[in-house]
Amino acid sequence: MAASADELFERHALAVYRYFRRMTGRPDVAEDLTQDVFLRVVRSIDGYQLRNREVSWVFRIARNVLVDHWQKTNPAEVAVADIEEPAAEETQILALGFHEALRLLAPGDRDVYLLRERGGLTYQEIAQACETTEEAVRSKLYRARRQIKRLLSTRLSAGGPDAG
Amino acid sequence: METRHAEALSAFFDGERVDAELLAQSLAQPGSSALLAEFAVMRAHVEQDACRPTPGFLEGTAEQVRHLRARRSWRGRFVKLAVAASLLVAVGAAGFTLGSVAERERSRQATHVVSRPLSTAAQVKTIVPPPSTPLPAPVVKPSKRRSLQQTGGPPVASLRLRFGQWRDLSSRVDAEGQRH
Repeated sequence: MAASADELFERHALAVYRYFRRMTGRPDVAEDLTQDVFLRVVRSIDGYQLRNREVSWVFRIARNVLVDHWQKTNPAEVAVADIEEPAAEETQILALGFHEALRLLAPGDRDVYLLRERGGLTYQEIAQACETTEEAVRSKLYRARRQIKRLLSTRLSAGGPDAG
Repeated sequence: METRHAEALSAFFDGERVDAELLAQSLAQPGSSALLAEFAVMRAHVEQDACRPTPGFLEGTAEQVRHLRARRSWRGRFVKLAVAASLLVAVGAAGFTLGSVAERERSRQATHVVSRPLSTAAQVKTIVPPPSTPLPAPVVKPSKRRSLQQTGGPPVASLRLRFGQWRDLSSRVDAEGQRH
C-alpha cells in the first residue's frame, strides 16, 4: 500500500531539507523549498506509482522544485553553508572543509552527489530525475568525489578553511 | 589510476552494477583501497550533517500537509459524489429519451397502419350499409317515471301518446270503423 503524504513527510522531510540546504546554502530558502516539495507531494500523491521507490519519487519532486528555484535565481550563488557547531575542533575543520568543498562544486555535480549521498538514489533514479544517462551520473559522481577530495586535501594541508 | 578504474570503484562503492573484469582491474590498481576509504570518509561527512531547520518548522509544515490532505480528501469525495450523481442523471435522461423515441416510433407505426389506403371492396363495404340493416328506431325520450320501468312497473311512458298522436290514432280508428 502506498504511503500517505504525512508518512512521506515524516520519513523524508529532514533529508529533503538538508539536500536543499547544501544545494542553496541558505536555511530560509531550504525551508521554503522543503515546504513546497511536500505540498506538491500532497497534490500529486494520487499519481504516485508503487513501482517507484518513494524516496526516489520525493527527491525527484525536490529536484524539480530546485530547478524551478534556480530559474528565478542564479544557481552559482551559493551562500557559505552554515553548519552546526561540532564538538571537537578537528571534526569542525573537517566538516567546514567538506561543506566548503561541496559548495565549490559545479551545481550539476553537487546535485548528483547529494541526490546519491543525501537521498540515497540509485544511478538509474538519478538519471531519471536529472534527465540524463547512467553513464553521465557515474562520471559526475566520480568527478564530484575527486574534487571534494582535492579541496579537502588543500584545506587540511593549509591548516583549515579560513587559512586559504 | 585511470579515470575508468576510479569510476568503476566509485560505482562499486555505491552498490551499482560494475563489469566484473573492470572491477578486478580497478581493485588491482595501486591506491584503489585508499580511494574506497576516502569515499567512505566523504559519506560519513554527509551522514554527520546535523543541520536542522528552525524550531517548529517541521511541525508547522506537517500540520499544513495534514490540512491540505484533509481538504483534498474532502474535495475528492465531493467530486466522486458529483460524478456519481451526474452519471445517474445521465442514465435517467438517456432512458427517458430512449423511451420517448420508442414511444414516438410506435405511434408513428400505428398511424401508418391506419392511414394505409383501404381496398376498394373494403371501402364499399364500409361506406354502403347492407340492405338488411334495420333503420334506426325512433328515439323515445325517457319519462320522468323511469324508476317504475326499472322496478318492473307498467311501461307508462311507452304507452303514453302525445295528444296529436292520440288524435291521429283515434281518427284512424274511427275511419276504419266507418269503413267496416
